[in-house]
Amino acid sequence: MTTRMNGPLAIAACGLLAISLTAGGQNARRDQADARLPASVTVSRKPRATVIDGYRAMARLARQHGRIDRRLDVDEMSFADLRSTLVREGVVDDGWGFIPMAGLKRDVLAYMAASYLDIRPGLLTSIFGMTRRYSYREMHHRGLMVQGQPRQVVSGSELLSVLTRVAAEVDRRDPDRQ
Amino acid sequence: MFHRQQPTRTGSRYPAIGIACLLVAAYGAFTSGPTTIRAQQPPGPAVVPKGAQPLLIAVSQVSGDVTYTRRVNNRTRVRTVTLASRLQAGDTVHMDVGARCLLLFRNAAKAAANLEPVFDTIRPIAFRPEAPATDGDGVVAAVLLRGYSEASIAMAFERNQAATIQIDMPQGVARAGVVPTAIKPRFRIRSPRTVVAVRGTEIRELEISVDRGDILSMGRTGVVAANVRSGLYRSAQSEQGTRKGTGTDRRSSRLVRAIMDLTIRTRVVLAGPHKGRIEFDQAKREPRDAQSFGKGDKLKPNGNPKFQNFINSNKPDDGTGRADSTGGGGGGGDGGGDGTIDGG
Repeated sequence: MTTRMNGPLAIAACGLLAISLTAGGQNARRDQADARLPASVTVSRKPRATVIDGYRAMARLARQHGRIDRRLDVDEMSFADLRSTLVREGVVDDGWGFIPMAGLKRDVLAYMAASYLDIRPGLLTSIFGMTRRYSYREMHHRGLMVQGQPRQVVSGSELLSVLTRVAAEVDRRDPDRQ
Repeated sequence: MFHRQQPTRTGSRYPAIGIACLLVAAYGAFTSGPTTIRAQQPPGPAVVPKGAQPLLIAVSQVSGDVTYTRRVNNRTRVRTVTLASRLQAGDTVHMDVGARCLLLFRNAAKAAANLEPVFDTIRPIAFRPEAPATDGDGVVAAVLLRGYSEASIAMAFERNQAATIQIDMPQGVARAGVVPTAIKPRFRIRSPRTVVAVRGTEIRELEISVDRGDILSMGRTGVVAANVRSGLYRSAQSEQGTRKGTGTDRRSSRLVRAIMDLTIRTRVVLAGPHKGRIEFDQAKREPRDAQSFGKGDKLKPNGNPKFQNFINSNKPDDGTGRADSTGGGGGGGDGGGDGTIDGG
């Protein structure tokens, strides 16, 4: 390293520091603004929804519909608490062993939506319970989900679209809620 | 020997290029990131044209987690929507799943005039069999947002007694009603794929989603005119709707304002409810009895109490298509809403 390079390197270091501080400040302000928005806004920006996103959104919907305790702070609950809450509600299968950051697949989302709406088509399903495969087919048949690969990971926007249709279906069943 | 000296010479001769590259890379790394809400905001509050007055946007009903963002002095402010909130053009409403928010667009002058109590005037009482005037409180239009919705109020002003309202919705579910006036108001909802405009009174329901596309349902009395690739299509059938898919269309552009796919829930072609003859259900290929109206109300479904009871019953269609014969006539008449999807 020569002596002639010390000056430009110092200038570059100062410039980098200034840029990083400025950009960091902007990011901090953006994060602060985003934090005050509904949690679903953050989810909608994600190109790939995770299992914990799906669990949290479903728990938030159940809380809004009064199916779970309204005092529960769903946004601060841990994954284990969310899972146990949804298992008690019958929305999530007890045998599922998904990790929180795994991608949320369409059939998993269909199972949760069908269980939430208590959709049990067919004799065998009503006896032995719903499976993810036929949940997806049933939700597609009812127009709540689009046709595609059952194992495809949904985006955040698609997750919210499906849950919006679930909420609309609940409203349609109970007009007094509106 | 030559190979040993070359890197040293190059590094000492052009340090500024490397530094500049570093600076550019660092700037790009720090400034680019996931899209935040600030990046999605319009550059500033919407500009009202000359001679126009902005509409007052009040919140009539709200439930669930609903917020709005507003750009003030190049900063984005986030506020929770309450009944006391007063929105303006340029604001963006964000809603959580399961939330509801009813926005009322009001004429500023009429709304202010009505707010003042009037005690010392005698109001004439006149019996009118029609519904009361809807512009009593200066309401020009109403929008009900449901579910997860993002709605940016792009334009909301009144000029020359004609209201102009435009809402940009990347995603969400909306219902809208427009008060008909002598000078037709302009009400539009823009999605990334379509532009839906109200020519009559209402948009029964418009669902904008990334997976299913845009689905417009017009209910019993609506009429849809759509610009499709085969030309202008106009439907007077009941419970019809239009759909623009999310996939790339034939024109290879997501911004093409056209409706490519048409979904008709109940395909019923009506000979007209005022004609006392057998109607034919095109979907089921079977004739059926026509609904008979009163002799004095042949062409006016609004004057028919049976029709009014049916329309106001809010009863879902039973799928038999029996109830559609009355609804189609209403849409063809002056009572039905009329949604137009403008094509590019």
